[in-house]
Amino acid sequence: MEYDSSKLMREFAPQIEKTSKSWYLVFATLLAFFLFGIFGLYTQITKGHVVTGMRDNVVWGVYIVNFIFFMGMSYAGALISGILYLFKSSWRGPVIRMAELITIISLFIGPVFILFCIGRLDRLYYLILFPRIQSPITWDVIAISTDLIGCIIFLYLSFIEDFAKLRDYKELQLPKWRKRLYKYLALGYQETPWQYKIISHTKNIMAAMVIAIAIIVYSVLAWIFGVTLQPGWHSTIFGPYFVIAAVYSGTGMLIVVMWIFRKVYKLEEYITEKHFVNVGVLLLILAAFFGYFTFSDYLTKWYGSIKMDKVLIDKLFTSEYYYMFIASNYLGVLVPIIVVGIKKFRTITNITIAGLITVVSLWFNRYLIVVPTLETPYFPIQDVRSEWLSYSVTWVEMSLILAGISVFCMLFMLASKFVPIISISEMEKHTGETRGLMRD
Amino acid sequence: MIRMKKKKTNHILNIFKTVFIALMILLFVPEIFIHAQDGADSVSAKAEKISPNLKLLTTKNSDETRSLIAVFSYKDSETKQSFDIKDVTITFFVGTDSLINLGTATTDEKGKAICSIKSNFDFPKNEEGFIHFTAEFKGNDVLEDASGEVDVKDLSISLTLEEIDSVRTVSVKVEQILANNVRVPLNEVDMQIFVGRMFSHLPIGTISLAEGIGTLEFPVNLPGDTAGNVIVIAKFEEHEEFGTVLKSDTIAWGIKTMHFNAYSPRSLWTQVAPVWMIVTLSIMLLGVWGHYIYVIIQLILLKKGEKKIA
Repeated sequence: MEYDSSKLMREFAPQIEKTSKSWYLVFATLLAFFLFGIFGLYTQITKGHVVTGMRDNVVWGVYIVNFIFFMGMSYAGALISGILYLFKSSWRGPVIRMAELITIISLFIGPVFILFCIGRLDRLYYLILFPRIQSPITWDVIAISTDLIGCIIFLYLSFIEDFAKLRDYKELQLPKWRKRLYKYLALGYQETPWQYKIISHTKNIMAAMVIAIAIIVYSVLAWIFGVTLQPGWHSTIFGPYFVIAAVYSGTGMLIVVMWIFRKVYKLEEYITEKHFVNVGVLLLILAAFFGYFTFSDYLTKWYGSIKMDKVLIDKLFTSEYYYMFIASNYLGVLVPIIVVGIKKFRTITNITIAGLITVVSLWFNRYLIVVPTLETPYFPIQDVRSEWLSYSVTWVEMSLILAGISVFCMLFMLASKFVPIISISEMEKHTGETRGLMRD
Repeated sequence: MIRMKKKKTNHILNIFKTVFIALMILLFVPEIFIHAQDGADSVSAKAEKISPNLKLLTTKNSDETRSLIAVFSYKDSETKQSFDIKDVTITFFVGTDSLINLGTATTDEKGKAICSIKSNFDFPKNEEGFIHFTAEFKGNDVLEDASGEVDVKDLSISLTLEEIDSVRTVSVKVEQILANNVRVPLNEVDMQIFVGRMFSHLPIGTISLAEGIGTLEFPVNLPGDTAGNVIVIAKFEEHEEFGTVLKSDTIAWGIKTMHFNAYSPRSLWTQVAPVWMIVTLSIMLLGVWGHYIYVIIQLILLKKGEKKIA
């Protein structure tokens, strides 16, 4: 199908101009969840970390799980958008912006969860004043801030052409300040060959950079666990395992986001079954890799029979973690493979369900990496209250998880009101081409 | 032909569906059965209370404090297996006619509840000098009442470590403290002397007490810590009349031991990071941030070019 700029602008202008009542209703509901989270945070700050489930033994809980989860989605978004752009995939048009938005929004939310874990927030600036580059925590701070800046630049580069189109579209009914803002952000882009060359060149550089940084940054996060002598963590496989898990969860989230925006903004013409199948195939490949890495990790630990590793694995198979383990490592791997692998099941709804199962499974996977290990230390603390040895989530932590998810959704909603949720410039460049990875 | 193919596909799908359901049943049903059995156990537990055992032990520590240790367990009549009971509250008393409440403690994973009593506590004694300790559990919905008791005599141990004529000598003086603080030397009783090791106490000899006094020559070939320190312990262990009583002291009578450290010092703890790390990180950061700056310069040029185009 041929897409020209004016047709696309006509199609997407109402998305930016008009805001429905249901949009406000959903936004208000999410805002209520966010405010509930703020109340939880206020309770935590005034009463201390005793209101969370974290204690002397399990010093990390769902906050770290959420941090890993959101950072993972961010890196996945960066990798997917970077690869799609760099390899000039013909079907990237409707997908790439959503991947970019997942990257940047997750990257804003993820690191905030780290702050919730810190007992002495007033000493946070010590990390800047007294950095020790021997510490993986410092690597993480440097890596995340570098990644954030890189992703912002990449996102902005991909927006410039659309900002110019929004600036030049005279029929767009928006307040003057919005039009002035688009004009300012478009940097005077007129699609001259010289300007096009600059944008293409810099986008190519940044696409390559975000791919490399995403791999390095998520490996650094994995090394924080890998270099720690704890059962289940001290593993050489953790770097690549985390990268695969991150891309896997992010791909699942991309499918879910595609499904939601397709329904809400009626984008059936642009986001077709072929796009779902293509991203679904990526999900299948990643599911196989993730399953392989998971199996390798647990097999070597089980066979090695180091006492506490064995205790940890027994705990995963026999305790309250059993169902979470099954959901994470069996359903989370098998469902996407079955749904996408068997042609009969390969529908938009099924692929979306598989994507959703992937997202939930990978959250469980991170929980199983963090909490059971901390409950099974090599040297347990002696003579402490038995309830300090294990972890259970409190309402304060739940409120902040809800707030995180709400902010993720709210920022997506706000972004869709600021720029077209499908990149017009990308759609224009690849009008209906069916090559490369495009399927029949 | 197409219908045949469709039929075949449906047949394959049905097989797959059956295998998938069977897999799910296999995954979840064993757990359901386990939980169902748990439920059955708890119902039967409600119908018939368990009769637990409460054993009470006492230890007089080197710093003169006393620990009362209650061990709470039950024995399964069918399997004859013994299980420790955790998270139950035990109350401790001293005395015979009028009981003095010493406090409460909760049993841990091993079924142990420990009550610590200060060194200056004045325990009531009977005419023979025995102190009567009791531990009580008041019972609950699942467990019957239980109690344990122990009678011990108070004992005073003095431990002296000195070199007499170039011989390292361990000297002990042991007295019973009876009613009204009457002290009677312990006679014709054997006392074990130990040296503390990493995981247990190593016996180095026995002293036969005569008029409450005895000596032992300390061996010259025992390894100590890096300064040669060893902990010498004089102890009665679960003695039927005194319970566990011990006295210890530290002295540099061991051979100085230099432990070989199999691990290299971790770079994380050094003041300055290793050079390779600084170089690697600098190259990476310069490379990445160099590209960022280049892209930003290009964007500035783009903005400046706006005027030219206009």
